[in-house]
Amino acid sequence: MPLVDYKAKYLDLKTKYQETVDLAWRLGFEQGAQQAQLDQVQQQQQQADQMAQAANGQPQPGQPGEEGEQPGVPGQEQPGQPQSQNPNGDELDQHISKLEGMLGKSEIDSFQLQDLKKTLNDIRSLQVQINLSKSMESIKNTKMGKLNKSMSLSPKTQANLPEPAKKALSMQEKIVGDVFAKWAKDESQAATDITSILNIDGITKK
Amino acid sequence: MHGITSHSKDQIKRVVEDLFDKTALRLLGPIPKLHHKKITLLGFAEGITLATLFVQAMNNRWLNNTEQDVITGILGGAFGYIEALKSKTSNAISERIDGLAREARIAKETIPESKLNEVIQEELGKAKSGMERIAASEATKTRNLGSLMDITRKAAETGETDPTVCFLVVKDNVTCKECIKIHLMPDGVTPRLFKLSELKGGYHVRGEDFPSVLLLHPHCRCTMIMVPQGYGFDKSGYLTFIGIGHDELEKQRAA
Repeated sequence: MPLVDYKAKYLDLKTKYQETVDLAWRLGFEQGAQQAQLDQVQQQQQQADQMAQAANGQPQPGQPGEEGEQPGVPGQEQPGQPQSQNPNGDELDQHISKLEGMLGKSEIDSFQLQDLKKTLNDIRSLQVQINLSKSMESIKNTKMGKLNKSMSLSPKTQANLPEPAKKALSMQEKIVGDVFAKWAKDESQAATDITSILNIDGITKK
Repeated sequence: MHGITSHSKDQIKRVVEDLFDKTALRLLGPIPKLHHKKITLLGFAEGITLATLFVQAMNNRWLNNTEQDVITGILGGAFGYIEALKSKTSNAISERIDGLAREARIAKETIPESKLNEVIQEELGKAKSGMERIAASEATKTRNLGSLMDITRKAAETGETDPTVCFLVVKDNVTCKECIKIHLMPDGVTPRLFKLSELKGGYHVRGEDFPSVLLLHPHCRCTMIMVPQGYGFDKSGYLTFIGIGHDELEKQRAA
């Protein structure tokens, strides 16, 4: 019959339990914060609604929940525009909706219209970047993301591993980590270089 | 209708080449195939490369001809993978931008910078994950082939023709189930023993019962060690001297 090391099992279970509690707490906290933000946004919208109705006697364009029925002149859709990942809740989305609403108004002249369209495009690309950086941050919290953190050897592994092997193991982590820390820097430089090559060629616009 | 000029394509290729060559130089060191490249790396880095890792895994021994040949093969193989990824990335970026430029010229417009950045970021992102896979798997392979060479030398010194080995698992919240299943006994504590001749020489295929000297997956942190004659594991999995003539492998397989 195989011998079972109950102490090791207990410690293992304890670590797992602590990690689960930590994770649950963090998720709960994040959800709570998100909900609070949503509530606040809704409240602000209700207030804005009331004020707008009092002033005009009719609803304002670009209200949340009316994304599909925005007042826009036909042909003013922006083809290829990145779509928002969170169309109902985000504050940035509300500003975009407002801008879209302004674009629909007839009193704006063509110069202002172009300017507004450009601003709207910029905001949308900014929104994509923000969402991307948020996603990158959340990837860091996943299991694969945690692989990059420096590892700690258990006392048993410490005792069983010969010293050169321990050094080799940490060296392996260092090599891979260093290569990618520097890759990130070089990558952004390469992207800039490619863009400037094409700028010189005259086929891009800012 | 034309896209980007051939001169721009060449320049893009050169930018991508620089990115990959710098990374190759950092990972592999100044190997002969990189000698003709004009790359300068500035900084105070210690210059730890795969060759350094191999020597470290070999217990800092002086390499004989066979061992030098092994590390040359590893570096050559890794360089081949990097070169293949480099040309794939370079072609993909050029082709996609060429397509965008053609579309833009047909529409008598210019390419919006946001669209261009999106294409570049996507292709460089793919390249990064490819490089990560290459670096992680080649580093794992190098470390374990170094350990294998070290074990072979130790076995020759002690007169063992087929040494007994085991894999020490780094156990934490990211340890994979395959490593636990293959490298540990069912108690999840004691390392499983193998004869060196039983190990696979190529990359591991999930579901196989015997491990590989190249380990089980790219980010594998398990380490192969030799279990000398007379040594075994106690209840907690610590390697200890049991007695002269003790055969831990036989004991494990009899249980």
